[in-house]
Amino acid sequence: MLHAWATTLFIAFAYCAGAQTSASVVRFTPSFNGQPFVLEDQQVLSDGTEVSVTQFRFYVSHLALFANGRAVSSDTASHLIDASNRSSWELALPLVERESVDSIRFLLGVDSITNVSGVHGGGLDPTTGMYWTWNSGYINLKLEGECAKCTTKGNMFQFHLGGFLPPHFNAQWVGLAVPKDVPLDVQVDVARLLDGVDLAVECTVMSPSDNAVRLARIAAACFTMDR
Amino acid sequence: MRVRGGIVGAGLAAFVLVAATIRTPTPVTLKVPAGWPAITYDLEENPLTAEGIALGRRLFYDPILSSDSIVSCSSCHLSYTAFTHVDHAVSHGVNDRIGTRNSMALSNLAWSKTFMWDGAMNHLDMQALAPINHPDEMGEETAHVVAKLQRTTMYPKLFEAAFGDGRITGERLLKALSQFEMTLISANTKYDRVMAGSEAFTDQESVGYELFRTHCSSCHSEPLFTTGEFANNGLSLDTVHQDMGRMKISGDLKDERLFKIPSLRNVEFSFPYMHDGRFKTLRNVLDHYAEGIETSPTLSPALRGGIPLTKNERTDLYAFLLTLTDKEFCFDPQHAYPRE
Repeated sequence: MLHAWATTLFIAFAYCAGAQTSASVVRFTPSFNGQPFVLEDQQVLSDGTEVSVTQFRFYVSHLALFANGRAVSSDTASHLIDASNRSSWELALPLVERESVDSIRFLLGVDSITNVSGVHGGGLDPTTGMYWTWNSGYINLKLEGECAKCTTKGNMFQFHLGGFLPPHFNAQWVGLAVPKDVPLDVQVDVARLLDGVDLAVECTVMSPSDNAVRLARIAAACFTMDR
Repeated sequence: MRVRGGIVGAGLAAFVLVAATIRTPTPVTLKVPAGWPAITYDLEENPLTAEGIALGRRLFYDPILSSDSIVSCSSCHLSYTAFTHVDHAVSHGVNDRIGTRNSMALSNLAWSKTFMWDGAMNHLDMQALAPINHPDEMGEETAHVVAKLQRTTMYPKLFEAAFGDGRITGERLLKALSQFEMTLISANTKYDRVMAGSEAFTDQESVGYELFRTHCSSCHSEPLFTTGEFANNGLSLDTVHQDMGRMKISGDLKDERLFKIPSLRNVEFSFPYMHDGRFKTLRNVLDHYAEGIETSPTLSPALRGGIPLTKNERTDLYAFLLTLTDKEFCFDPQHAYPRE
């Protein structure tokens, strides 16, 4: 009988121990013009413009790892990645052999089904401030900060990119080739998004629109796995 | 062996004790009236329970949802007047702020596909975010409302009863409100009893019903008395707000000046009428459809040239519209302020 208890305990411990390593982790690391990203700090764009980012958050959903064109590990859920919260940068997927993974793909934003199926919890809870309250829909990406070029009150720029109805479907698929022998580490260079905007004329995008789609496409190109 | 038996016995006793202490919420079945279409709300995502409905009702009547702790949902949606704000053209919010739209009467929300006069919100769960966060309505932030609820002694207990543990989240706040709102079913009007065969229309009401079926029911279709769609019903553009309605949400020129077709249930109580409350009486409304339709590119095709109604016909139609009053609904103690 003791033996049976011991076996049960062993299995339980083995399961717990296994749970800690039984995942393939994809890490999203914000960067700025190739340098480490720092919130609330003056950082310089490619043309020399100084900006300070106060908030950078975005959703990643339908994350999948591919080997030879076949999805080998995936997670349809939407995850909120917040530059100010390091624990949100790492997403765990069912474990696969790292060496076999040659590309990854994800949706930058929340899919349309999630946008029409009522309230959700976790990173999708409306208390995150990532759901519009004047017009149904999730904000896929929020980038806010200050730049002397902005003619707005407080020189603020606010880019809230969202929209799930045509012609303003905003979420973007991102596909990246995975370099050999490195961790699954995705860089997202915030400066590339701001490089794509003339902050002297465009400081505010806060509704589903052509401009929001244009910026979302630029945002999708900010993700790289180059070393 | 004796030791093992003791362990198993103690374990079992502990299990029974825990099972007896944890009260699972009591399931409630939504009563869909006979002959009505299926509801649009997915109850599998938010199963109705007695505790969830009670919590939603408590929240609906609690001004803690507003920034000045004065405005509750019921401030603009009074149960005794079909859950709208009688005699107020547009909504009143925190700090005496005035909105731009007439508060809508609430009933049969489990059947609604979109919410607000312009359909801005696409799900019952999400609807409450609009008034809670609007500076002219409750002037709050969802996260701050949740924080305030967490600081009370009452709400963690009520959330635990409804959801199994005392965690208060935005998701649970909105789901509880949805649960209460779904119980606001109006299906016992004289019209309903006539259709069920237990009562009869007067001659004048019968004439009015025929006029209704001929001229009104393409938009205000039975039994919900709305298609749930949007229409331009020939109102002149309000010069102060220049409210373009649905177009502001869809960005589509075809939606210029389109507003939600409201249900006519309890229309006797929901004065003043229209999205901006411009008509004080039902008679004003009927006069508008007969004589006041303004033609514009997006005018509902059903209203081109207006509805030909003589003054006597308007009186008969009015008599029929009064059969859509549901007194049981308006005075249901389960809908009223929770006194207990």
